[in-house]
Amino acid sequence: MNKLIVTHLNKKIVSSDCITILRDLEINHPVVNILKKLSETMNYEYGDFTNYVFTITTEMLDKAGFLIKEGFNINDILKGFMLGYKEIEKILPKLVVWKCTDFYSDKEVQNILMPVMITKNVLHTYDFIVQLLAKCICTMMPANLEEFDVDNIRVSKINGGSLIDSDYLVGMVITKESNGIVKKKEDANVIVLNCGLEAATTETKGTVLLHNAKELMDFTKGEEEQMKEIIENIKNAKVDVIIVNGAISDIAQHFCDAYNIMTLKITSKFETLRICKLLNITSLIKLDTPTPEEIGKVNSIYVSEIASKKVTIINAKSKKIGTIILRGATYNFLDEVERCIHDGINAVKNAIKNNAYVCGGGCVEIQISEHLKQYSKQLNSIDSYCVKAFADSFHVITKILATNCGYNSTNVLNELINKHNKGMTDFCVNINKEEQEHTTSAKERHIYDNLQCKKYAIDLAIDAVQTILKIDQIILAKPAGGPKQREKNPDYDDVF
Amino acid sequence: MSVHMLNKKADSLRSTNVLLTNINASKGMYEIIKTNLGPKGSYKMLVSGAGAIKITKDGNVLLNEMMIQHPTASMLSRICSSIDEMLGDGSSSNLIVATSLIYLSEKYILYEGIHPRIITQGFDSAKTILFDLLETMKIPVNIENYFDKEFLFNVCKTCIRTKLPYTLADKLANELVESIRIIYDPTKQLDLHMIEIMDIKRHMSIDTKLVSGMVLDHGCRHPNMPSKLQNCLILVLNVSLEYEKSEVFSSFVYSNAEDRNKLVQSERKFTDDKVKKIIELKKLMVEKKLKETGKEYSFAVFNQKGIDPISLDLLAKENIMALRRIKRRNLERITLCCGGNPCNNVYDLTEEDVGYAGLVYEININDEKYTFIEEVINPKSCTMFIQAPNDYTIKQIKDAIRDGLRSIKNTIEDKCVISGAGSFEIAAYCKLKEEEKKIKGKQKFSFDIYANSMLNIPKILLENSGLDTHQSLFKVIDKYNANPVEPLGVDLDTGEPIVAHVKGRQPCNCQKKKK
Repeated sequence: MNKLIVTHLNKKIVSSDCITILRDLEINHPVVNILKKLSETMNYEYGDFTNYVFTITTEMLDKAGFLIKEGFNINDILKGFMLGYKEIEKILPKLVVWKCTDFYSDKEVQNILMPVMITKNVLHTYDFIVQLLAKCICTMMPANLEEFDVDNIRVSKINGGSLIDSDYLVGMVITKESNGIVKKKEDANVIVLNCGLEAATTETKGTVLLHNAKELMDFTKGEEEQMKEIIENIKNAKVDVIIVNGAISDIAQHFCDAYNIMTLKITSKFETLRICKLLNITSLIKLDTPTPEEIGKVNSIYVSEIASKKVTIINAKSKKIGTIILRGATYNFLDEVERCIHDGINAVKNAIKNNAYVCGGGCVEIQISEHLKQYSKQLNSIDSYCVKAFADSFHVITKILATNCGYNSTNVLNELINKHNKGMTDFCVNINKEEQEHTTSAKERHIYDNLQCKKYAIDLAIDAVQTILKIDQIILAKPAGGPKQREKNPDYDDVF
Repeated sequence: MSVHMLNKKADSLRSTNVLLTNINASKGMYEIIKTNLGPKGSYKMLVSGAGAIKITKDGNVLLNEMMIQHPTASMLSRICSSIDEMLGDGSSSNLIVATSLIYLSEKYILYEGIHPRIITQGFDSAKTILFDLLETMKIPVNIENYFDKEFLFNVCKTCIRTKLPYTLADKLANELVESIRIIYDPTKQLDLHMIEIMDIKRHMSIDTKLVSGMVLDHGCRHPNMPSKLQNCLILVLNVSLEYEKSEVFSSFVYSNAEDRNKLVQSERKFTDDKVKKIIELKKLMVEKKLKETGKEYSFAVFNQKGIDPISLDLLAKENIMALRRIKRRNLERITLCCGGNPCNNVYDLTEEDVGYAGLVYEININDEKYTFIEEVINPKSCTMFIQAPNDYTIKQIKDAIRDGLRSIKNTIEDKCVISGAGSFEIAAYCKLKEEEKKIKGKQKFSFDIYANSMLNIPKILLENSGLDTHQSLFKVIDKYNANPVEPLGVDLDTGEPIVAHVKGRQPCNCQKKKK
């Protein structure tokens, strides 16, 4: 389910992503702030599982609260939880069911992306966007897997049309049109300037000293001659396109048009860096004649119009950077799809780092809790209670998945536990409403979760539970008192 | 009443009222701090006005951050924090003893009618006896002859275990002792600033480690500079490689565009020359090293002042990694780590000014860059590298590291330790009870009060672990009284009496003294 959030700037966000929701909620309670930080950490380490870590932590705290009411000492509860955690560390690696080996094939990458992106609720067209992203990633995957960078896939959002009109291309899309007259170049040489395309100025303040009227008239002529020379040099180096991260003076633009050189102004330093990466060149700091290492080659660079927005599309020879052009009806929808794609790309990056996968859909949680229950029977009574409570806390994930689908969560939970005890250890919740069965095999449907992400989420959860349970007092600082500020006399002027 | 005659608005309290409020204040402080004592104590969460969270157990931090308004309580807390300033740890236990002394005196002062003066005199005599006891319980340790790692590890472990969970505390203690070993020089005083503490928000706190080298909190600013260098020669500079405005007001005068261009170039010349000098040195050294060892060496420049973009470009073309605006302290630390001298100008550069590191690399976390200098030969400086998932954990670990380092330093300077786990307190209790029989007159009571205050510490340690307080306490006392030679403390996991220094719980001698 999605949530509609209205921020204090009156911006409206529709999302089901936990971290997006939490960011805009003003949370005053300090312990909830700790939990919020957990989600944030999860977000920037792995990009996903933000809701998972939040839910698991609160459920563990809930079960611990139950134990405290029964009269257990905090130290005992924590000891029990730690014992349970150590067991999980041992058994999780054994639950691996799949390892992704081929990152260049569409089908395999789709298996990674599907479970992650389907949680974002992008209506019935989720299939399409997953396939699109899988194709894009496979085309862009570098020969050395470790070089895969999340920044290499850009997303360009253009209002209008519907999601099915989205497409991807290898290259960059810049939401600006080129300055000047030239709008299209094929097989062109490109240089990137990190300074402005204008006459050089001194750092110290400069004054023009003119001795007579002739100098006055010749001054502008001199400037023009200089600029003409510079652009001519650039043209002689066979450059067709200049990309500038700075200002373009009018004189410079005039000569560029005259010499048929395309100019493109970019405002962001990071975009410039990316273009340099794409073309494999270094950018120029000074307006000099470019050396061969500073000239890059593109297949084509042209200005086109998508939904009455002018964009410049750069098609390069190398496959380093790809762009997905997203089309959609509303900005909210586009933002949500972008978040979805972002999660997908992070999932692929996580897979490259660590390609072990366990069954998803609430399956592995049931396995963990059943195993812990068996383990608790070997322990003495106090520890056994605590470990059992810890085991129960993992049921919440399966319960919530089932409830959100509209099933009776207790029934589904019991069904799954029975199936697992009979040995069918890969059954999980079936979200496909058209089928009668509420449970299905995760292996057949290729529903997988990344092992490393899950483990880290559980690590963070235990860490937070330990810290929070050990707190016995919260001391809130109130702003210290002081003399009240003298109120200004409204008749007085503030001039002096 | 007399004060009211001088100033009608003054608030004042007299005699019994004063005693009552002071005693209540002490009781209040006692209740607050007692749950935080020892390794099994609990944490307190402090939330600042801006919403920033701090989770801590350290008595000193708590006392500073809690805005106490009661004047007596405030005075008590300041006295106890002063211990932290001198020694680094022990403020909670100090506060417990101090507050217990006050509120246990309540019974005698209020209900038996004893004058407070007599009780304080008794305290003085008790104190002298305790000092003597302390001297007899010392375990000497001499670091100059032999750097006893095991010993220092135990001391550090005792201190840090009271601040952080067990596994993390043990790991940290190990690393801290190693770091002290690196910077330890028997001839000079131990300078704790030579251990840099750097933190990054990532992974789990168990990944905190000691880097035998340096970690800098920024990276090089040029995209083309190499991000990983092996066999690296390191030059540390304090030279400004950017355009500097003149002190007096100045301006250029030109008549045409060509003149202007010439002026622009001349502005650059000064800085470009400096950069060229550095490049010359690099080429010279790399060639020389190539001839000597046949290995390809690389070059890195660390500048305390700035480097402007054009100079960065020139250096990048030569494949030199350059960092600008590093901290002043880091200048000293890098030269201690890698060798070489920090230079103030580029015209006197020689080969001896250049240091060496086996590996220099940069990592990019989120939007921040960190530079690591590792594999140095014979380091005299190092970095404690903290990794934790969130801010308050990082602060916790930082405080713990600071306390741990101070405790090791104290041990080295004091040259002795005593057993912990409450063993000194129990010995003090038994001794004072004995001496009580020898004292004549009303001072008997003060001995009783002092002894019970001392006993409070092991009592609270046991209470916090959830064990049966009085049973375990009396077990230890009986065992000690039977054989008063070996000091016995309490094992917080089982409640049985143990010989504490064998188990490795040894807080510093000087802390006990200061109380």
